[in-house]
Amino acid sequence: MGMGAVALILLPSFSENDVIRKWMDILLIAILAISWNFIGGLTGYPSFAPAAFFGLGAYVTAILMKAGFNFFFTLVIGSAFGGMIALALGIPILRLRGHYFAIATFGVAEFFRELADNLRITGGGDGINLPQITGGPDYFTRFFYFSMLGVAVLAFLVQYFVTRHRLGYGLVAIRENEAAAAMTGIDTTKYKVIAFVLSSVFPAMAGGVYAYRAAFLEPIDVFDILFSIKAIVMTMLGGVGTVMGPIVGAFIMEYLADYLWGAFTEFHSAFLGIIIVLIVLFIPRGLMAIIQELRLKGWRSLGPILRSNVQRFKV
Amino acid sequence: MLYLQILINSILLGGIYACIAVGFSLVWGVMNILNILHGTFLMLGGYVTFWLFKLYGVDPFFSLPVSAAVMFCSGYVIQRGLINKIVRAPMFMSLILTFGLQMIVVRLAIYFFTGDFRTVQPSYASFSLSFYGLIIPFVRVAIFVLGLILTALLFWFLARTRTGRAIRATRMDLDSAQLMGVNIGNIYAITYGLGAAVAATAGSLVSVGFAISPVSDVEFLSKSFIICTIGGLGNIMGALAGGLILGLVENFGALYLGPGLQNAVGYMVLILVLFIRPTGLMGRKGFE
Amino acid sequence: MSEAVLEGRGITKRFGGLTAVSAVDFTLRKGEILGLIGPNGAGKTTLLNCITGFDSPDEGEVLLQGERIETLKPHAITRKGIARTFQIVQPFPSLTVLDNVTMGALFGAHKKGQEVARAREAAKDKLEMVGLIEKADHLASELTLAERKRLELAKSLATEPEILLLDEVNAGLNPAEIQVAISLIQKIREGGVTILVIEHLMKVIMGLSDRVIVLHHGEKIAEGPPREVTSDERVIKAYLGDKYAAMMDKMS
Repeated sequence: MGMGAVALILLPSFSENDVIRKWMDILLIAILAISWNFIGGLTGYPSFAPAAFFGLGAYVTAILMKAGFNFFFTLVIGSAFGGMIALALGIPILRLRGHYFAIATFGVAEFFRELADNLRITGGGDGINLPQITGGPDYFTRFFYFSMLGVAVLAFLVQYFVTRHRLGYGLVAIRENEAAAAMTGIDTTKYKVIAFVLSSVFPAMAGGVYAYRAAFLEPIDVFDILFSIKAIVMTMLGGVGTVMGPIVGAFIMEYLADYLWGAFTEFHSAFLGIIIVLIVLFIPRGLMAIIQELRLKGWRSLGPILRSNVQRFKV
Repeated sequence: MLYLQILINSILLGGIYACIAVGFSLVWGVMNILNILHGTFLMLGGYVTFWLFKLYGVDPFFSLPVSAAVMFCSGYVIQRGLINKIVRAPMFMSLILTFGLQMIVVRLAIYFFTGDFRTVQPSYASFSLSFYGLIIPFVRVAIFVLGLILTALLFWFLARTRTGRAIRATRMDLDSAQLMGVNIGNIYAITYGLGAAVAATAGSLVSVGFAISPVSDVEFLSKSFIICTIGGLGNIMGALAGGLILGLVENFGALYLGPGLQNAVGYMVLILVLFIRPTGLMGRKGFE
Repeated sequence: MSEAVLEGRGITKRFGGLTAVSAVDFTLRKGEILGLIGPNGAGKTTLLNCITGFDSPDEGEVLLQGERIETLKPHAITRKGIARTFQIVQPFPSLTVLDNVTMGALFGAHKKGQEVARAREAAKDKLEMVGLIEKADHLASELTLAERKRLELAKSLATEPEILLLDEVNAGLNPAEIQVAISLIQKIREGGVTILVIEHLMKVIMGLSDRVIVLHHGEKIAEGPPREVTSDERVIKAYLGDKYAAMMDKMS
C-alpha cells in the first residue's frame, strides 16, 4: 500500500501526459468509490448521493473562483458546504431504510441537478465558466493530477483509520443488524450521519478539482447519476466494505471502460452494461472475497466459486 | 378559468402518470425490486406503436395489445433468466443489475431507432373539444380513458384470476405461498412480465400525444419513483392517487415557478413525502 | 433485603385497541434473579421492550437507581448498564464470533472512546466464560442455535452491564443445553450482575429465581418466591385454564 502511494507520487516523473490524465480519472472515480463505501459499504445504506455532492463541490468551486477566491480555498469551502448539507439532509433521510433511502438519495441528486439547471447563479442550462489556469500542458496535467491525488490519499487514509477505529466497527454493526447494534450501545443515528457526511466531503473536493480542470460546467455533466452508479459497481467489484475494494474496483473498471471505449467507441456503454451484469451475477461479493477464497482453496476452484456465487441467491 | 384548464390538464395527465407507474409499483411491491428497466419498457412500447404506425399504418390504439405482448415475453425471459438469480440478494444488487441491462438496451435502441424524438400523429391528432374557453384535446382524453381501463384491467387480473391471486399471496407472505404450492420463480417472472406489459402499453399511449426518444426512459423512471412513493406501494389506488397528485403538482408548479422548475418540484415532493410518510398515502408497510 | 436497582411503576402499553401491558409495577433488587413468567401473549416481551427503549410506555415510569429512563433510546439504556438478549437471536451474521462480542465491549456501559485492541481482549474473556472461545474466528452465521444463544449472552456481557435482561434464552434448546445455560446464568449472578429472566419452562424458573412475577393478559397477577407463586390459584388458572383449576380444587 505504501509502495502504491509512492508509485503514484512518482508517476508523473516518467509518464506521458495522457497516462497521467488517465490516472487522474482513475483517482477521481476511486474517490467516489471510497466515499460510497462509507455509507453504502460499511453502513449498508446504498446511496446515490456521491453524484449530488460531486456536482455540488464542482459548482461551489466554480462560483467562488469566478468571484476571485483561491482554488484550494474553494475546495475547503466546497467540502465544508457539502458536509453541512449532508448533515442537514442526513438526519431525516437516514431514518429511511433500504429502497426508500436509495430513492431519496436519487431524488436529492436529481433535485440538485434541476436546481443547477435553473438558477441564475449557476448559469442554468448554459453552464458556467471558470477562470483558466495559467501554465503549459505539463504544468496543467501535473497540477490537477496531484490535486486529485491529494484528495484521494486523504479519502483513503480516512477510510483506513475509520475501519480500524470503533467508528468502523459500529458502522458495520449497523449494516449487519441495526436493532442489535442499537442494543449494543451504538448510537445508530449519530454514526449513520457521520458516515453520510464522510461520504459527501470527498466527492465535493473531487468535484472542485474536476471543475477547475474542465473550466466549464454543465449540470448534466457533473450531476450525472452515472458517477454514483460507477462508484457502487466498482466498490462491488472490489469488495463492499473492504478497505482496498473500492480502489481495486476503480482501477479495474477504469481500464476496462477505457479499453471498451477504444475498441467499441460506438457501443461502449452497451458493453459496460454487459460487464455490470456479469459482475452482479458472478462477483457480487467482490474480487477481494474471491481472492481470499482462492487462496484458501487453490486456483482450480475458480469455476465452482463463480457458480456458487450465482447459486447463492436464487429463488 | 385558467385554473380550471390547468386542473383538467392535470387530471388528464394524472391518469397517464398512474398508468406509467402502476407496473413499477407491482414489481416493487411483490419482489422488492426497483426495476431500472421500467422506463425502458415504456420507451420500447412507445416505439413498437410508432413503428407499427409509420411502417404499416396501424392505428396506435390497435397496436396496444402487440406492444403489451412483446414486452410481456421479454420481461418474463429477463426475470426468469437473470433477475430471479439475485432476487433474494441485498437489494442494491437488483438495482445495479437492471441498471446494467438498461445501459445495454438503451444503447441498442439508440442504434436502431436513432436519437430523434418521435411522436405518433394519427389523423385525428389535432381534434379537440372546446367549450367555455377550455380546450380538451381528444387524444388526451382517449389516452386518459384507455389508461384508466388498463389500470382497471390490471386490478381485475390481480383480484379475480388464479395467477393474480398467487401474485398477491406471494407479496403478502412468500413462505406461505411456497408452502401452498406456488412456483415462486414462475410467479415472479409473470409479475415482471406483467409489469413490463403494462409499462409498454402505457408507453404506447404516451407516444400518441407526446414525444419519445431512446433516452425518455430516465424521465419515465423518475416519475414512476415519485408516483409510487407518493401514492404508496402495492396497490393500484395508490398509483392513481400518486399520478394525479404529480400531475397537479407539476402543472401548478409550472404555473407559479415557470416550466423549467417543473421537474424540480416533483423531486422536492418526493423528498418531502419520504421524510413525512415514506409508505405513501395508501401504501401498506411492505418491504423496507 | 437489598436495594432496588430497577423499578417499574404503573407501566402501561397499548397497541391500537389492544392493551399489551397494564399498570405493571415491579422491583428488581440488587444481586437477585427475578423470574418473569406468564402464558404466551401475556406481555412479557413488551414489558422488556418498554424497559430497554424499544418501545415507550404510554403510561408509567421506569426508574434506574431512582433515575427515570423510560424515554431513553436503546443505546442510551445500554450505556447506563442495562443489557438484554432477544428471544429471536440477533447476531451480526457475516462477522466473526469474536467481532460480534467485541461490539459489545466497544460500545457498552461507561465506554466512551474504548480502544479496539482492548475491547477484543475483553471480548475474548467473555467468550471463554460462555465456552465459545474455540469458535472465535467462525462466522456468526455458522453457529448452531445453542451456540448463537451463548454468543448473544457473551455480547451482552461484554457491555459490562449491572443489570441483565434475558428473554427466553432457553427457547429451542435441548435439556443438556438448558443445564449449561442455567449454570452460566448462576455464574453471571455470582459475578455481581442482577438478572431478570423471562422464561416459560417452570423447572428453570423454580431452580433459578429468587422471586417470580407472573403476568397474564398484561397484568401482574402474582409476585413472590417461586413455590408460593406456582401454587397460587390465579396463576394456575392463567396457565391451565379454569376447568383444570376447578379440577385441582375438587381434588384437594
